[in-house]
Amino acid sequence: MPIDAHVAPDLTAYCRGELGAEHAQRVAAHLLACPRCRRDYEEVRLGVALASRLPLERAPDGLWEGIAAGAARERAGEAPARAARRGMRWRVAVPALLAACAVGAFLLAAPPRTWTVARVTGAPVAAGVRMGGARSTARIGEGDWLRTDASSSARLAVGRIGTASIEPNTAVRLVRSRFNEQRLALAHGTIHAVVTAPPRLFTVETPAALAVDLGCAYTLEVDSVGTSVLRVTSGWVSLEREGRESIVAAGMLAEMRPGRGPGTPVRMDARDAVRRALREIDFMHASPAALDTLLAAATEPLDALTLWHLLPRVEGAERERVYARLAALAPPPEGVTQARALALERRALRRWRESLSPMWGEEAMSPLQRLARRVWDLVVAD
Amino acid sequence: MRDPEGRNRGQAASHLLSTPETGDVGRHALGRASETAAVTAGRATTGDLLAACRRGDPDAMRALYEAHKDRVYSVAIHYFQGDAATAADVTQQVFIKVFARVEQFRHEAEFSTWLYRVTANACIDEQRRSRKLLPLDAVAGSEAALSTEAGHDAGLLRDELSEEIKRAVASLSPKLRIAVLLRYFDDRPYEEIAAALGCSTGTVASRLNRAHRALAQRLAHLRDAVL
Repeated sequence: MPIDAHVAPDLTAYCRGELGAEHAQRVAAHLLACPRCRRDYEEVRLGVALASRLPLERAPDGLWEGIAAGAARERAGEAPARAARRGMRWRVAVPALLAACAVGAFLLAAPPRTWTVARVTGAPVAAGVRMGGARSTARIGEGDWLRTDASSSARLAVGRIGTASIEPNTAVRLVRSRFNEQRLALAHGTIHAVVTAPPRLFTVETPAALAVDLGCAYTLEVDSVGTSVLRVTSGWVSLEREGRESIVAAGMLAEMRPGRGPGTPVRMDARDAVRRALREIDFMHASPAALDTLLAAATEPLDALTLWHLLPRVEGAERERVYARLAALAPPPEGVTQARALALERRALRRWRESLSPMWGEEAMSPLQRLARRVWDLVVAD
Repeated sequence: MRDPEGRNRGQAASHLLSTPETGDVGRHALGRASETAAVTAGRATTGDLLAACRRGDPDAMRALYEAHKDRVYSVAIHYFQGDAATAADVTQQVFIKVFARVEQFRHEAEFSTWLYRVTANACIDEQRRSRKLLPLDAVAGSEAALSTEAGHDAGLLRDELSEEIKRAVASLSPKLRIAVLLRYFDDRPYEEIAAALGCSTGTVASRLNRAHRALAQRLAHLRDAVL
C-alpha cells in the first residue's frame, strides 16, 4: 500500500487491532502525516467504541419448542423423497427444472433497452419525434419522453412484461429498463397498465408517490399540479413515499398529493362524501364529522382494508373507534389484541392484514399472474 | 485472542460468546453458570454437535441452538429496532431453516457462515415483507427516533448509555445496520460478512466505516463516556 494513499478503508480494522503489524504501522505513519485521515480515524474510533457496547440480548425462553416442531415438519416433508429416492427425485426434479428454465429464460432474456410505442390515435411524440402517417411505431430509450396531446394516444410495451395505454394529454418518461427494475415516470395525464411480472419489477414515479406493481392491472392519473389517483383493477399496487405506504387492492383507489404521499385506499364505488372525508383525514385538518362518515360507510369487506390503513393515521379516541369498527367488520386473528393493535405493534398489524387477504389477495390476479408469482417464489426466492 | 495470522482480535468484548476459533461452544463469556444442553452435553465441540445432529440427536440440536440463540436474537432485535416479537419470529425462522438442513455441514466454519447468512437474509426478507404489507407510517415500537437532547454528562448510567447506542444503531440504514450487527455480535471476519450479505469485502469495510462514523456523529456527546 503506497504510504501516501489515504487509509479510510482500513480504519475500522485498524481501530479494532485487526491489521497485521506491518500494515498497522503504515496506517499509523499515514495518520501522523494526514489531518484528513486523522479526523476520520477519530470518528471511526469513537464509532467502534460505541458499537462495541451494543448489549447482547438474551433470547426469550420458549422458542425452542416451536423450532423443534418446525424443523421436524420440514424434515418430515423431505422423508418421502428420501424413502423413494429415485422416483421422487425425478418427479421433483423435472417440474423444478422446467420452472427454473422458465424463470431463467425470464431473467436471461434481458429487457430491451428501448420500449416500443404504437400510435393509437393522432400524432404522439416519442423521443422528440412526431409519429403519424407511415410512422405508426417508434421506440423510446432511458430518459426519453412520450407525449400525447388532446387528440392523440399510444400504447407502450413495458419491456417484455406488459403494456401501458397512454391516454391523451399525457407525458411519460422511460426512467430505467433493467432486468431487476423497469420504471416509468408519469409527469401528468393517465395511463392504464397491465403487467405480468414478479412483484416490484415495474414501478411508476409520480410527483406524489411511487407506484410499485405487485402483480396487477391499474389506471394511474396525474393532474397538472401533481395530484394523482390510482385505481387498481387486478392484483394490487403499493404506493410509497417518504415512509408512508398504502397497499391498494383490486377494486380500490387511492389519492396522492405531492408532499403528502399516498392517501388511504378506498373502494372505487365509495360515495363522494366518503372520499371527501378521507381527503380531510389524509391531506387536511379533518373535522370530527369526517371519521363519523367513514365509519358509518364501512360495511363491505374491502372497507376493512381502508380501516386497517387508518389505524396509524389517527390517534387516541379516534384510533379506538377505528379499531372497534374494523374488529366488528373483520375480527382480528388470535393473538392480535386490542392493546397490540392500538399500540400499532408491527407484527400484530401484519397478522391482521394477512387475515384480510382472502378478500383481496391472489384471487384478484389473473391465472397468468399467479403462475408468474409462483414460479418466481419457487426458483428465485430463498 | 489472535487469529492464525497473528492479528489481535482485541475487541472481543466480554459480552460476546466464545469465538469459533476455540470450537468450544460450551463456555460462555457471559459468565452465566449455564445449564444449557451444550454444557450438560459436556463441552462438545461444534463439529461433534454437528455430527450428532446429522444422526438426528435432538440434544445436539438443542445444544447448537443454545450456543447461538442469543447472538442470532441480538442481531434480529437490534435490526428490528427493539421489536421483540419480530425478533423472536425471525430467530425461530432461522433455526428451523438451519436444522432442516444441518446434515449439509461437516465443518464448524461452514455452519457458522451459513447460520449468519441465514440470519442476515431472514432479517432483510422480514423487513421487505413487513414493508410491503404494512403502512410504513405504522412504526410503533420502533426505536428509530434518535434523541438529540441527550445530556452531556459523561457519567451516564450504563443502561442509559446502552439505550442511546441501541437507538443510534437502529437509526442506521438497513445495509449499515446489518453489517454492524454481524460484526459485533458474531465477530465474523469480513469475508464471511461479505458472503452473508452477497457483497465484496471492500463493501463490508466501507459500510462499517460509514456506520462507525454515523454513530460517532450522532453520539459525539458520549465521547468522554466511552473513550
